[in-house]
This record gives sequence, C-alpha cells and structure tokens, in this order.
Amino acid sequence: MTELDDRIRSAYGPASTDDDVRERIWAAAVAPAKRVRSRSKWRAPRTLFAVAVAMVSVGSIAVAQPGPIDNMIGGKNHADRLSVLKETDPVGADGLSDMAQSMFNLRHSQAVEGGFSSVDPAQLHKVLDYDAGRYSFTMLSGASADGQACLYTETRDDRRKKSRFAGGGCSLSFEYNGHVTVMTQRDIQLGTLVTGLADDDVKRIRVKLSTGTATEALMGNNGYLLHLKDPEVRTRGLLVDLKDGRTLDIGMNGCLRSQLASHPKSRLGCGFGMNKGPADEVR
Amino acid sequence: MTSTQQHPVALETDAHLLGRASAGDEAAFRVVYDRHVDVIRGYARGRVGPDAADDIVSESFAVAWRSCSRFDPTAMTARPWLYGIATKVMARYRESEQRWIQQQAHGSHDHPVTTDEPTAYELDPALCHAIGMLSPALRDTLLLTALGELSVAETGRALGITATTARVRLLRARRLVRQALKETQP
Repeated sequence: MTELDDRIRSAYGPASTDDDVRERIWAAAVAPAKRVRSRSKWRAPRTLFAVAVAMVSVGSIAVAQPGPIDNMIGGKNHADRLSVLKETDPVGADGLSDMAQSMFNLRHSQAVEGGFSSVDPAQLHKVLDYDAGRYSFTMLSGASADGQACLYTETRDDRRKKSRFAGGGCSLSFEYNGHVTVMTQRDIQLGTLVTGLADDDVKRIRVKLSTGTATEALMGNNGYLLHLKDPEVRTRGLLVDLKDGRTLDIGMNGCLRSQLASHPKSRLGCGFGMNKGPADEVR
Repeated sequence: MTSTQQHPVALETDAHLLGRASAGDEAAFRVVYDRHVDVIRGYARGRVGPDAADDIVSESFAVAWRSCSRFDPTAMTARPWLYGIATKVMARYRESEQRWIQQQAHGSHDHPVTTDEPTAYELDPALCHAIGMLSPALRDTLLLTALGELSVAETGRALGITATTARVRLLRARRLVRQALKETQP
C-alpha cells in the first residue's frame, strides 16, 4: 500500500450517513430488487434453504436438485426414510469442534426463530466419520420437527488443528430426485468433498467426474461421502443404484459451470440452487 | 431492522450473511448493508458528488442484493466486492462524474450542495483534480485498488480485465497522479 493510496483513502473515505438517508437508500435498493428476485422460479426453494445452510471460513456448500416447492412442503416425512434416525441413538454434537458446535447451535436458534427446518444439535445421529489424512470429516444427521432429514458436516484440517468448514442443511430434495441429497464443498487445498444422505432404498452411489469416470462413494448409516483430492477433478453428477435394480442418473453439471462463469478462478464448488436437472432413470 | 438489533447476526462474516441473503434472507443482507454503506457512499460522493452518489449507492446495493449468490465465500469481507459493483454502476454515471470534476476544478458551486459533509474535493482538491484528469479506466483501477485494498489480480477481476492490464493501468495511474500532484505543489 502506497502513500498515495493512504491519501486517496483519506479523501474518499466513509461518509457519515444519517438514519433517514440510510433508510432511504435501503428502500431504493432493496424494494425494486426484491421484485426482480421474486420472479425467479428458484426463489421459493432457495428461501427455504436459506437458514438451513451454514458456511464457515473457507468452503461453499450447495444442496443439489432443489425441487419444486409443492414437492417440498407436501407433507412427506423424509426422515422416516432413513433407518439411521430410527435405529440409532442420538450422539449430539459433542464430538465436533467448539467452532462447529457453536455454529450449529447458532444456526439452530436462528432457524427456530425464523420458522425453518432445523435439528437440535443434541438430537444428531452419527452418520459417518472419515479420516483422509490431513483432513477428516464427520457427518451427522437428524430429523427436524417437520420431518425433514437434515445433514451436517464438519471438515477438520488436522495439520492446522482447526475446523475448516462446518455446515449443512435440511434435505428438501428427496422428492425431486427420488432418493438422495448431495452437497459439494471444494477448494484448492481440500479438493472436492461430496456428501449427502441416501434413503433406505439406495444400495450404492457413484460420483461422475470430469475425467469421464465414476468413483464409488463411501456409504454408511444413510450417508455417503467421497473426497477427491485432486482440485482439478470436478463432479458432474451421481449414479444412484437402488436395491430394486434401477439406477438413477442425477446431473450436477450446472453448478460448476455457473460457478466458473461467475468466478473464472473460483476454487469453490457449487453455488446455491444451481443443479437443475431432474434425475433420469438409466435402467 | 438494523444490525445493532441483531447481535447473533452481527457477529457473522459477510460471506456467511451473503450466503443467507442469496437465499432471500433480507435481514442478513441488511447487516451487510449497514456495515458498508458508509464507505460505499463516501466513495461515490468522492467520485460523482453528493447528488448522484446516493442513487449510485442504492443501485449498487440493489445489484449486490440480486447477485449475492455470486459472492466469493472465501473473501474475508464484502467491501472489495461492493467497491467493484459500485465502480461498474458508476460507469453509467460518467456524465455526472465529468460534470462534478469540471465543477470542482473550476470552483463552480451552482450545483446545490445537499449536506454539510465535506466532499473529497473539499478535503483534498489537488488529489481530486489529479485523479479527475485520469481516463475513466485508469481512475477506476486506481480508486478500486486504493479504496478496496484489492490486489492487482482482484482489481482486474472486479473490473473484468486481466491482472496484467490492471497492473499496467495502476502503475500508469499512479505515475500520472504523482506527476500532477508534484506540479501543483507550491
């Protein structure tokens, strides 16, 4: 930073804005913008996703396949489709870092206040723990009061001994793609983490990659996880093998293309609500 | 609703708040607005004068509200991003900016000053005159780098140009401004 920069900052520094002006600018800024935003067909699903998803420090999270609003609030009890929530006892969030615990507690209190789906952190069930060397991951799940299945993930950087990411959300997308939810988290050091919930009908999940191959995800307790260490490898979709022999092909292409269009050098994964393709049954 | 009434929210990072705002959480966006409106307004007032500044600020936050899903969640603060948006919005106010520069350069005050707050021109007329002599492209680069405290690469990204172009423009802008300031020194 140069002396010239300091001088510029002094001259062009903050203007004190009194309350009337502040409110006037706010009204002019947000009221028309709200009208524009409300025309988006993704507005309603994204609003419902809002409080359910948390981002901390580095990392972005996205829940793929947000479905039509009618499917989301139609009274389906998604949590009933996960045996982990019926057959195991809650373990709470005690095993998580202090940061993750405080984040989940904060998110829960805000969600309750706002009337959104959320899980009391004390009622979370263990889904998966996975140690990938430098990074380790913990996935927890729970049922919200309105029957949504929620997934929370913490990514820890064990070399730096700190939590790198803590976030998650309640899964509103089962009805849309049928049997799974998917979240991605990506950065240049971590690579890509693909996590999600799978209902009791799912036998196996493979993640389709930009390399043209599909890699099987680790599965257990209605959860699945795949850690791709190479940051250059992108996710393209899921192949979900069901116990009845069918395979669902779920596209995730839109998210990465959109994200890259916005941020040419983005190190992140998907953005909110970018996965738009419905699941195709391939056989 | 202001940030002071929302203690839990006020502790959150801009990235976190904008993540929620992208899903329609207006209160979260309001916290970001309250945090940064003063600096964006100061920037706009410095560049185009008090009259057009508030329009630019409101337009800038309108753009930010519509596009907060594109905010880079790894960024520590939304300020550079907002400066970038304001700079782009300001491109549509070049006439106002030129008029303001000319008025200040010629000491013309026929345009009514609407507040008691000092403008950048009143605070540092020599600097503003020097910056006013720059082309819009050089001016954008210089001000965005200095005010947004952006790296050259980030400035380039905010302006939609390459890092190399941004670096060249920045060096040129600094050289021209320093030269102009030297010439105006008594």
